[in-house]
Amino acid sequence: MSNPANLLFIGLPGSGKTTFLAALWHVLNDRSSATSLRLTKLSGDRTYLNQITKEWRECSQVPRTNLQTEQVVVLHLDGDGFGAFDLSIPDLAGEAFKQQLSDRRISRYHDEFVQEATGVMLFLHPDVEKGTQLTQALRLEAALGGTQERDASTGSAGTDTTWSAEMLPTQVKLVELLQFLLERAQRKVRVAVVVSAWDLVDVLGAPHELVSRELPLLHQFLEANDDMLEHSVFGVSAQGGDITIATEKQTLLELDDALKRIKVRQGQKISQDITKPIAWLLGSK
Amino acid sequence: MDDAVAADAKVTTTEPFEEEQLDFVDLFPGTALGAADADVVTLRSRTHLVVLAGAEGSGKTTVLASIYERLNQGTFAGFKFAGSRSLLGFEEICHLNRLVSGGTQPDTQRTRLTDETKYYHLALRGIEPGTSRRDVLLSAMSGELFRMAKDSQEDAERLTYLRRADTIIVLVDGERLAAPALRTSAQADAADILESVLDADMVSGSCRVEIVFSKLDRITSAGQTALEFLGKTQEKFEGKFRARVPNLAFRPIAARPAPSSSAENLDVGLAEAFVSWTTLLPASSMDEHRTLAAPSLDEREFSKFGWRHFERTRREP
Repeated sequence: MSNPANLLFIGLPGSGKTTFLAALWHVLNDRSSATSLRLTKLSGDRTYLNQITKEWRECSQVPRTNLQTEQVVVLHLDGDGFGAFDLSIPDLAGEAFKQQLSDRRISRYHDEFVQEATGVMLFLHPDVEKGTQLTQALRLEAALGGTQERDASTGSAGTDTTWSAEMLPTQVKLVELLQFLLERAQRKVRVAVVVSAWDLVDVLGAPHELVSRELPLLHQFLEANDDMLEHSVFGVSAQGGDITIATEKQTLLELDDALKRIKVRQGQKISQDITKPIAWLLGSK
Repeated sequence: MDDAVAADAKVTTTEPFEEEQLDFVDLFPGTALGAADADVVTLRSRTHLVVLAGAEGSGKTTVLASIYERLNQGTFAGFKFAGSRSLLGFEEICHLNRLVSGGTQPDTQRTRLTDETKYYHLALRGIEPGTSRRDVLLSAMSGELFRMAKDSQEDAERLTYLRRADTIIVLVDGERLAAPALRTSAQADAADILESVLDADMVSGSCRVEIVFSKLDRITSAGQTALEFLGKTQEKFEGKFRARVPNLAFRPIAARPAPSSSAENLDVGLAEAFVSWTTLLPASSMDEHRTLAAPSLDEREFSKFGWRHFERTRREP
């Protein structure tokens, strides 16, 4: 009997959770690359994995998980220093996390995954909603001498919008989701922060630098709670490029090995091993 | 190939999702805290309570919002952001200074006159390694509540939670101070507020009291006369209150300076102020002899909150 391990994927809609799972399944099943974790035995119904992985292989948009299509995937794995274990990954809908923020409640079904989680992967897309302050924008405009241009371009003078929780900046949403996690788990947790679509921002520095620069509130929260929350930041390019651009998609399809689409960065270390964030969560250095 | 894939993993399909059949666990509301929610924070750890008091429009909420806005941009005043039970509350008061609001000039939602005082929570940790976490509750009291307190000793006595404040900040509206027609009443409004709470014996001996001249950028741009009046106001407050408030201090700030201001210096002002407001003073001997009657059952919840906390912290070594 293998040891059980349970991962929890947390992320807003479109943050890359399902695409990561699709690429992970392709890599594990392909078995031709050196990875930290490897498949062992065979079992079960993999219809869902096959479906999302087919889309990934064809460089099509992997369908987002919605509340009706949530799945729990169990992978039988081993790795150096880990032994054999069964890894359970619920593919939960980003919509569910959005609802937690607006409704201020979590379903008992999802809460069970929180209670059982061995480690947590927090997904975020680098195109974040920053919640730019008017004071900052005006200061920048004053420096550039373009105040009138902004007024004309926004065309929103006087159209006051009532505040709602939908308007929370990305970093605030993610901090709140982590606060929910800590509140419910009541124990120290390991969190792998995964910046998806890493190919879009790779030239801008290491993943943890991006989080520090673009999401400073989240960065501080992770650092300040190191007694409750051990974290590491990974940049993961699971698609390999922007598949909505025809030429990029064609380039990706023409690669002689789909594994070359994958890029994983942790600090200055770069590899094609998409199992690295999971291995780190399970105790690897 | 798919046949081989077919045997490698197991997928459990969840039952059809029917919301009405699901059971939910409530999460904390995240809005500005009422007294009961603030109590949850104070029961978890020693919490520093900072109360901002001032006439309507004097800048109380802008100061609160600006502290949170600075933390949104990175470490602030030597602190890292470690969490908040009132993120939604902070976001709401920052909304009118966000591009997404659709506004073209920064603004702040006014503090509403509500039955219950609202608290904004910040958990902070020093940027130096090994520093411990500290919790801070910030509260802006509606100008209207203070007008009532100014007019009536009875109303002032209702504000019993001020007794557990570690820092009370009385804001003098810098914009009004810079206008000759309004400056005397701006000065008098602030003095009346402080006098009311002192008369009602609301300020503990270990409480730091700061008279803060808000909107410094407006005072500066109004010229030398406005700056001189600020100086005279400080002298007047010294003479009037020093004997009754041992821990009295003065400070000008611009929490949200105009874009044309030299922002760097003004930003330092808010950071220094925040450090001061969140630094504990040693307990004074005045507190040793202070005894309070427990509030009656029908008293407002926030009054009971103030009494409970005061009693608890008074007993701490």
